[in-house]
Amino acid sequence: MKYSIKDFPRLERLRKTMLEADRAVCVERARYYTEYYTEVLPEEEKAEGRNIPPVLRQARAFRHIMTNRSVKIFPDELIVGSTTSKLLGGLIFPEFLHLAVWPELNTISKRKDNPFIIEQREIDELNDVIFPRWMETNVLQRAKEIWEGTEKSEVKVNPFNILEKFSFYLLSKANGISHIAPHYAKGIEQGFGYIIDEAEKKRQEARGKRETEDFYLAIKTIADGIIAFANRYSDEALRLSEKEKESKRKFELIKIADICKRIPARPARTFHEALQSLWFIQIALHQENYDMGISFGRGDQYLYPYYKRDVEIGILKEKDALELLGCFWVKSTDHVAFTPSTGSLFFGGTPSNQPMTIGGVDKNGKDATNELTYLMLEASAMLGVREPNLSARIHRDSPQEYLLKVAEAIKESHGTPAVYNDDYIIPIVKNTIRPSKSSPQHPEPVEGWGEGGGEGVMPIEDARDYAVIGCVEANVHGKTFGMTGAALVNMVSALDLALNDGYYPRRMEQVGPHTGDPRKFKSMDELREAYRIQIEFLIMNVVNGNNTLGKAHQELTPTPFLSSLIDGAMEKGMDVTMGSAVYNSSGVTGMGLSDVADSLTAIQYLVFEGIDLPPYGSKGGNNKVTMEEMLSAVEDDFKNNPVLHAIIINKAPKYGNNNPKADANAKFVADVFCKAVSQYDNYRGGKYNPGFWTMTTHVGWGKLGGALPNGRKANQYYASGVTPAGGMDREGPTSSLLSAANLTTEDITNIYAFNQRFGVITGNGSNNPSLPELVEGRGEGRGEGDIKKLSQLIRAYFNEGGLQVQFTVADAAMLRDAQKNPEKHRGLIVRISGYTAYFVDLNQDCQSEIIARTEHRIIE
Amino acid sequence: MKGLIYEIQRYCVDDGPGIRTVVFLKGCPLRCPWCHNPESQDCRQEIGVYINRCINCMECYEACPRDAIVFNNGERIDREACDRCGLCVDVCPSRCLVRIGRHYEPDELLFEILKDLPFYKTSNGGVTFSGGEPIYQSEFLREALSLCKRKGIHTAVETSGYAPWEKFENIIEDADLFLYDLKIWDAKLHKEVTGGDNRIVKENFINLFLSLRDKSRIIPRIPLIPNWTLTKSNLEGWAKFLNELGCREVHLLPFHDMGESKKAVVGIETASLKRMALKERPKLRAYSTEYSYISEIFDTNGISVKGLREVSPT
Ligand code: SF4
Ligand code: SF4
Repeated sequence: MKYSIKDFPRLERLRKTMLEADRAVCVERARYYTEYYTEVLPEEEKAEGRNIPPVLRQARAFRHIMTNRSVKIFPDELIVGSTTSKLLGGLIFPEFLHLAVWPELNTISKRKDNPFIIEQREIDELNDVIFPRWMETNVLQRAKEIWEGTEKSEVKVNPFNILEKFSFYLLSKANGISHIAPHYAKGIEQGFGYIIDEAEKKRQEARGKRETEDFYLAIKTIADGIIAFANRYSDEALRLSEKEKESKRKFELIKIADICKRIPARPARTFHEALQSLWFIQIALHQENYDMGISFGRGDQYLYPYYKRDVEIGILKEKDALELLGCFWVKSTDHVAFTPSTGSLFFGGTPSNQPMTIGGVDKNGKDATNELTYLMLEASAMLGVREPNLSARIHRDSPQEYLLKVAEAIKESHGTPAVYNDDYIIPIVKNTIRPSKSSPQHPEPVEGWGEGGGEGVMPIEDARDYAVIGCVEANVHGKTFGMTGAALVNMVSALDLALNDGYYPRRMEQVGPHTGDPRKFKSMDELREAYRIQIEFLIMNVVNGNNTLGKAHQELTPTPFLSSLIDGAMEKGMDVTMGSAVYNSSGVTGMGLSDVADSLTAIQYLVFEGIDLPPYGSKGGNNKVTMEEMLSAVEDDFKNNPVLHAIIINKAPKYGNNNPKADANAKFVADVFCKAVSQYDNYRGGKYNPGFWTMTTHVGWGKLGGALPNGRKANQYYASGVTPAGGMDREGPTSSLLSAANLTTEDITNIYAFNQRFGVITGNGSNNPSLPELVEGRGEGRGEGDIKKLSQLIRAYFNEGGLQVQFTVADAAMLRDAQKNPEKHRGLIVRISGYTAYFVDLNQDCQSEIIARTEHRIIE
Repeated sequence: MKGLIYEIQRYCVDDGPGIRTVVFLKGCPLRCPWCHNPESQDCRQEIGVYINRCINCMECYEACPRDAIVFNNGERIDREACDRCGLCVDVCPSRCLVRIGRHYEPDELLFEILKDLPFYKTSNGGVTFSGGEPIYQSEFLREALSLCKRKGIHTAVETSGYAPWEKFENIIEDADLFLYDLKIWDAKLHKEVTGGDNRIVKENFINLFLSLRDKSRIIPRIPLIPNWTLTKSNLEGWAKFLNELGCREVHLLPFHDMGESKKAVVGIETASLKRMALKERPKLRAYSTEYSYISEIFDTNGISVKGLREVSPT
């Protein structure tokens, strides 16, 4: 890389301080939100003589937070503003699922994984004032009531009952709105002053339409809120500048005060202003919506005009721009999702996960890389911080220089950026919405599409302008209300149901429909059909649950701030939760692809076919294993049948080896899931999009799950995303990549995460071994060097249709050392399933999962 | 005609240009003690034993028709009694017992090679035939090479040079690149250590070098084995040889003792390396003057050492 952190003492200090900071809970957001609802709202309603509608009271609650929460500027900062009142803090959303931490308040500072500092008075405030207010009126509670009120006779199952069994799926809408890329550029370019004027104009036009008028009032209110917040930062900077002795810092603070006075009320003019405006917007979003997957969109595109102009008129040098980016990068790690202790199993590393998308094509299909693209790669490689989650788009004509820089950054940072295949994802993004019934693509009405399904045809320009959302998903940024992480589904639990006639052994109850005793199945098709029915059953419940939660959101927690930055809402005068965005969709992701696939393969080849495998030991010359034998081995965790276990592990074909037989089952598992999910419409008239990425649910659910026919023992992690099971892809990275590329990618509209771990990547174009290294046997990477080869590996995988891949570059020895001596590896980032986290922040199970991932060697 | 192959390794980055698939042919007439792949030496199928994978299920014991399965001190097979029938491998559930060497028809092998075609395309890579000594199975090699050529795949052959010249002639058209190992210069020592006559190696090299119009199609490579090849006189010998011939480039290969652990797998007595002073790996802190002579030798002969990073003496 061109720069090193040694070139930036300020960044070195900022990074160190942030890395060493302890996580602390911040109650301010919860306090002022609650205070508004308990103290201010009743007064307002009395004064105005009416019930304030949800969107407006949410806006006022937001403004109440922004005008009251504390403002803090820390030493060395050029980009100011904190998400919480702490240097490194966790926000609390009592109206959503944070009630779940209520019972844990006294232990969260002492818990083993991801402890949070919390003071006694904060605990008292939460116990006595905040949480009690939300006990009855939180979103999940409301959704349950709605469901009970509308329960239809033909659907007997309550999706929330299954949700509470915990083993089958998670519905993240209960936590709030997340997984979305708003139109930041609008806020930065136009400013919230303009948004106020626009809202007022539209309100005048809508006179008499009470609901619409209230929406525009809400927009004005949130704009007031964010402007007030920035002004308070301006005042704080000024106050500090007066006290500041050191003249350079004094000058910086005065400049910060100026900037915060101007933006985000008015349009940003400089690169510094644009970055500061972006950060204020992000903070604001995080006061309204919970901090998971609020995505920065295509930062290298919308920030570029500011950079270019500043450089052209000579007020910005490349190195200073990089320093500003670095300040922003560190600042974006200032908050961590505050989760109950089960959360660290399912969402390990407590990410906020804010992807920043770079590269790719522009709206006209031309290469979009620019100087800022490269600077962002520099920033990530140099700092190695977990946010923003840099996501590099690559297309057929991406410059060689860009590919090499991406590969080099992956090596330097141990895993950033993840890479995305434009050539295949752009058509997929076009496919994330329902063509309308009258669309030219589908002149005839298509059966199964709901009434609200018609959205028209997405122009290719929009599809080209997709950004990476949350872990790996892709939406048109600024125009889509996509909630791409609405639900996470445990596909393994569907296999468990299929192998037990719908009975769930771990909870000892009949959960799914009866699909027959598998011991009586005559063919693989019967088993596949049973599995399909169980998946359909789970997905139906997911959809019912999510749609109901969506309605609860509409009633309780509209999101006016977000609405101000999603195209369509201002035009229609309606909150985005009501479906006003240009594009509407929801994302559902399936966990356990390779475990289910390999289990099916093992059964197929051992029980039904017995071909291609040696005789089943000396136990009577019969090639086959009975289903009974298989199921009882699984039931007792292979304790009494180690031979069968060894045969499965060593001799049954596995997904990830470019083996057509095993890959066919992976394809089947993916297809069944995709079909089940994409048949549904969501409550906003959009489509459900299926994908495969898992956060750390593959560890969490793995811990709860019994043994499987693929030889995975009870309570072990599953494989992440579409990654082959650890150690089972034995044919090298090329085969593993080709297996993933073989999936029917065009149907995977919510994208997938594919993990590859490399031990070490040595050398680069100019960095060949020295003679001593050679003599000592350390010489590797003669000739072209591995960086180049890594870029070629990615290129080939993309040519074959792979959608995404992310690398963790760390060998097992290094990871084990980090387990033992976390303090030495504070900043070691690793790839989870979509996002990055500090290895040392993961709990032991998640750490072990990463160590167990197949370590591909670069073979000399 | 079938070839005996003991491994196909994918995503190799140092055996020729680009991303490569390396096909290891079994059988070699030489017996270099530092051999990285001792399982490649024997020209017949072998039974490999990865003893730490054994789950003691006794399946192999029941399957063996010759009473060749033993259960003492970490061994599993009595190599004297075993006739390599492979029945035990078929039943072993744990991959403790594996077959080393599998017969491939050339088109069957081509199918395996073609699997990685997408990667050759983006990297200008291809296939490398290694061994063992691949030229030992020269008819099969010729067929496999020409099949690959016809598919437009770049082909490389790694050779010890120890084979009759006709066999080189046989493949010269279809091999795009020869990676040609030069080991010990001194004829007597070469014979003593590797068991082969190095005049054959030298003559073949000269012939090959002279018959290739494009000299970049052959790259001499010297493995740096302390005490044997990594000596001043040895390197000088080769450097002068190459210089006189007009060869301007050499690759130096690092030495690993990876071969050691693999010897147990195929039951080769682990005598050689340890006894032969190789455990005294040179310890170089920095660019010690002790080894600066290596560059000097090639420099003075006008030969560039490819892929080596210059490090200034510290
Ligand atoms: S290869 Fe045949 S003879 Fe040798 S140990 Fe195995 S079963 Fe016995
Ligand atoms: S069959 Fe394999 S695992 Fe079983 S005892 Fe023999 S060597 Fe060990």
